Amino acid sequence: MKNNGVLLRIRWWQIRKELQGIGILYALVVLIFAALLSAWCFQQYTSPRSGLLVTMLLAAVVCSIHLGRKDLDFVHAHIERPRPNIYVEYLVGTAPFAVPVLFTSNAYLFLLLQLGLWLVACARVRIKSRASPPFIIRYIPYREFEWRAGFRGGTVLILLLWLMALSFCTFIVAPLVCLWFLTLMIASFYQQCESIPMLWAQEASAPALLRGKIVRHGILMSLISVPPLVLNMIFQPQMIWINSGFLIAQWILLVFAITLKYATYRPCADLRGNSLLLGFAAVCIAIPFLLPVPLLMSIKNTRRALRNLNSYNYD
Amino acid sequence: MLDIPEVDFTLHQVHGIVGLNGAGKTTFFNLIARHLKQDGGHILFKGKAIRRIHSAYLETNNFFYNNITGIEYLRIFPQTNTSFNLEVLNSLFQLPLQELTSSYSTGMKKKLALLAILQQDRDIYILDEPFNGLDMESNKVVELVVSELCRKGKTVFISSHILAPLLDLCHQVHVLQEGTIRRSYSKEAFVSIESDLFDDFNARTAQLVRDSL
Repeated sequence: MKNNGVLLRIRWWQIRKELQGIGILYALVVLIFAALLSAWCFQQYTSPRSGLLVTMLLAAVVCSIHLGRKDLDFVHAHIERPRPNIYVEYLVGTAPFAVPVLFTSNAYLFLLLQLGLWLVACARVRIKSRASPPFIIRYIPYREFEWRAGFRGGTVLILLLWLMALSFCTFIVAPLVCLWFLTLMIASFYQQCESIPMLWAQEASAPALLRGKIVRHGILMSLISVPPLVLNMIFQPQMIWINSGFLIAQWILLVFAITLKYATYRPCADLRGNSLLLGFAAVCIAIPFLLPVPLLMSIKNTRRALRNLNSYNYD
Repeated sequence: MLDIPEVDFTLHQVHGIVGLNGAGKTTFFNLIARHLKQDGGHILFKGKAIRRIHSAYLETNNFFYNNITGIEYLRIFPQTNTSFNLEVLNSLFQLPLQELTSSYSTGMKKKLALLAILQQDRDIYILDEPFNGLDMESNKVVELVVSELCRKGKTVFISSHILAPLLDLCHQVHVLQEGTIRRSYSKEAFVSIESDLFDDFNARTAQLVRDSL
């Protein structure tokens, strides 16, 4: 196990640093939330159908992480036994949500998941960004550079999730799950800070910048989400209110991501450290009674963002 | 830290800023470009406080957003310079604008950043180490660009660790040392810059090199 735990040690250091960065309160909330999610998974595992769906979702999440990870070449070049190390990393990462199935009558799903994780860990496929964009990016205005860059970096997954949302439109919850993952990907577009010249090339004032970005990007996101949601409402008319609420929840997550970016903005900085908070907010929007949490955090972040942006405006 | 008492820079001229590493050249440029705010004092342009719309700044290290192409980067900035012709300029720079900026070399990034500031019509252009990483032909193009900007009535601030192009281009050269402008040289006094700056340094350094090798 010693040789297979190198990546685990690295991840533990990273998680510890992130938890220290977000403070004990947020860390507790994240842990409580993980426990709730684990309990929810256990509940789903009691039914073979929903258990299989959760297992597939877990595998899909791990797969998407694997396809997008930038350290794959480094791991294969410098870590002894890279595939077992990667597998163990995924095993431990999914354990809180996978182990509960062992206490149900569908324990075979655990083995199925492990097989999927091993296959993913053995895959050495990286989807590289291509300069020549799919036709989609051409319709994104140049000023929305986060979206152009984000789409270029995740074209395959975004298209896959969107097509899955369309394909599952006859089901009740499945399209929402796909769109939830899609929204999470969109939220990840805001984990990089532009330079000061780029910042002020956008808008003259901080309020105009935030307002314009939220509105324009919200419209872009809605253009993606509305077709599968409308189709789902045609096949499942009872979903009209849930889908409408989901669209609002997506906007809340988008606002959270944008305001968080500018609340923590530093010129040219990498904001991947915000991923924990983004993930937390993404989970909150999936649970109705937790929806106010990212909303309140967005209001707080908006004030911080305006203050932060104004500190870079000396005119 | 910069502590510059009153200094006047003549408009519509090319001003060279020289100094050793850590002298404060980049800080000086950041203040003019409004990337930094001064703790005290004033920076005036035509009698009023200078604003960021007055200047365009080519930084030493050029950052580009990940996963965007050269042309996408250029399109982020407003093209307010009506005489700017990207095709013609890029025929000189030979940049692959459809490629990702992450694939660009240091010199290519410098050229792209230069194109981005040239497409903006500003009164002041600040070029921090514009010759770094560029090949000889591109260096010549940059020199011609600076001359043309001055001919069009712009004010140019330029820094370089290589004195020769500055002496060709500049109307004045200002020596920044320990956070202040020690001396300014007009064109007539350029002959003495090198000896003023390096005579003592050369003597000491030559002896040290002889002693150590």
